[in-house]
Amino acid sequence: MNTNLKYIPTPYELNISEKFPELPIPEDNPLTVEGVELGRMLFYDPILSGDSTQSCSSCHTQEFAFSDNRRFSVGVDNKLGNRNSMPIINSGWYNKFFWDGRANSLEEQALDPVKNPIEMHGSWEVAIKRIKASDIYPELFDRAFNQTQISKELVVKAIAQFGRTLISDNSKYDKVLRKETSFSEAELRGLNLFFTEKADCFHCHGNILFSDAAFHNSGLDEFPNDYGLEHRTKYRRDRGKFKTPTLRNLVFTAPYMHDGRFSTLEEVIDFYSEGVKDSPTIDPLMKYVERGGVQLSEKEKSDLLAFLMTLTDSTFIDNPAFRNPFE
Amino acid sequence: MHTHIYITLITIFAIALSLFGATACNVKESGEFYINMYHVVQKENLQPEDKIYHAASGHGYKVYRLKYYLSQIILEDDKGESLSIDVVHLFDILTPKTLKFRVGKIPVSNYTRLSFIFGLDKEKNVEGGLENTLQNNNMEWPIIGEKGYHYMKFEGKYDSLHTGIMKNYHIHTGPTGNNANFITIDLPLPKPIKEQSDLIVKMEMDIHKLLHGPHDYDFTEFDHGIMDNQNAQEILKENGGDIFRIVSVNE
Repeated sequence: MNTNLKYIPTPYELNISEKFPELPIPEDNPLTVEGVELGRMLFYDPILSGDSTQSCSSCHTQEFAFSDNRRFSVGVDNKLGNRNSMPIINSGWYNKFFWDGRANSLEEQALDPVKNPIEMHGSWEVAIKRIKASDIYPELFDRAFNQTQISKELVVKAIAQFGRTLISDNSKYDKVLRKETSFSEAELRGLNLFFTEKADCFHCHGNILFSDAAFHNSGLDEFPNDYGLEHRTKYRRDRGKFKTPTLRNLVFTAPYMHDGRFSTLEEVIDFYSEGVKDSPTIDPLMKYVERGGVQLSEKEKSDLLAFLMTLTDSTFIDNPAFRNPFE
Repeated sequence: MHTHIYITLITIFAIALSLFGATACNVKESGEFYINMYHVVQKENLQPEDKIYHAASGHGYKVYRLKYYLSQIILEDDKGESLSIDVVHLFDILTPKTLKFRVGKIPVSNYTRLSFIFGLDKEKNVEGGLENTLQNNNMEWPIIGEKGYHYMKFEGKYDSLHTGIMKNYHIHTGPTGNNANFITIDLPLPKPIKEQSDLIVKMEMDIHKLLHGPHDYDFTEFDHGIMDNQNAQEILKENGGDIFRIVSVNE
């Protein structure tokens, strides 16, 4: 133990359902009680934005499972984004962030919005000056990192620590896995559709996170306006591919798809059933493209929806540990 | 990927090694064992997504994704002794680091044969049978009552009508009912090019052979949804026996 340290941060203990894989934690950013709490404050504090009006939580609201209920979020200059805000749920398990995967860690992800002109439209220099000048933050950084030199790297480390604690593992689905409850008949029929070749959701959404964290063109457009992954890789073959979003807490995360084009889950299911469009980069996992999709009956759609509702975790959006600490 | 490696040494190895170690201090008793996997279509390096290949059925096809398990490795030496290595590894052509598989430390010997399971045996192929990682989660075979893992996910597109209009195919292998469907591969190891304590096996998997002989795999008959289709699984099992080849040892 280093006795020269002024503060010794307290390790943060996560209590995660055993069905989940071990949460990867970067060696240079271990979770601590002080770090997570600092991250929560920075997440909710508009101090990072250019005009001090917006925080991370402006577009990632707990009520909406840390997504935005607007199709496109509005930045500090009233500029509209061009993609729907992704929910922050179980993000600690991923290694690609944003719809086009342009960040490789939660830390790297948190760097982008501060300077993005259609989001916080600020600068890290100004944000760090404000944080240093505040009455509360220097002491909190000292406690969390034993660092009096506040930097953007420490800011994003703290935000990432908070982000890693945003774990949703208490849905009805999870409770069934833990044998605490059981599915209804309709939910069970929906599960069988979801996890078999019939509806074939599981090849992209089949793991415990309900996202394979890969990039797919699911056939939304014959000629995509938003090139998605191609923006990052510059490969034509990546046109229209987007990161698979989690299906957990879907009931809170409307609207849906990278551009929020669908307002309801019924519309999403209709799309996969009969609205899929072919294109040169459509994913091979998309079935029966020539018929528009997997062709579910109305009953099957209803059952599938019933199963998807079991992914709702109300304790996630009510968790006081995730709430705005300034309210 | 992270793997659990449990190496079971035959007693004779331990005895031989201890004797050898006592008389030749400067010679290593053990070395690292690597399998470096390469993927080809006939003799050509596989080019995911870009290149159109041609199946015996006449259909052009592209390969988008290919990942599969290799497990239960057994090495046999020139004295007929076997070294069993209880290991599971997932090769993924889109994740290059997975293609260089560090199997683990093994005793130095003159190994002459290598066998392994292409897929997973019945003991491992059960719900929760593998380490709980996202990579393994993404390979789960979720059919109710048959839970386990896909052995292989091989996905792409094929020219169904020879018109250039590509349709999708999924070649997903795994068990159906009581059919385990894994394949045991047994290959002779050529003489090492360089004498060294490490064993570095360069191996090739030929996609073309999976789609040909003894059966021509027909994309139009089995384009997707073959997870519970034993006819398709049987064809792939029978075709899959000779898709691996040792290219060299210690090159």
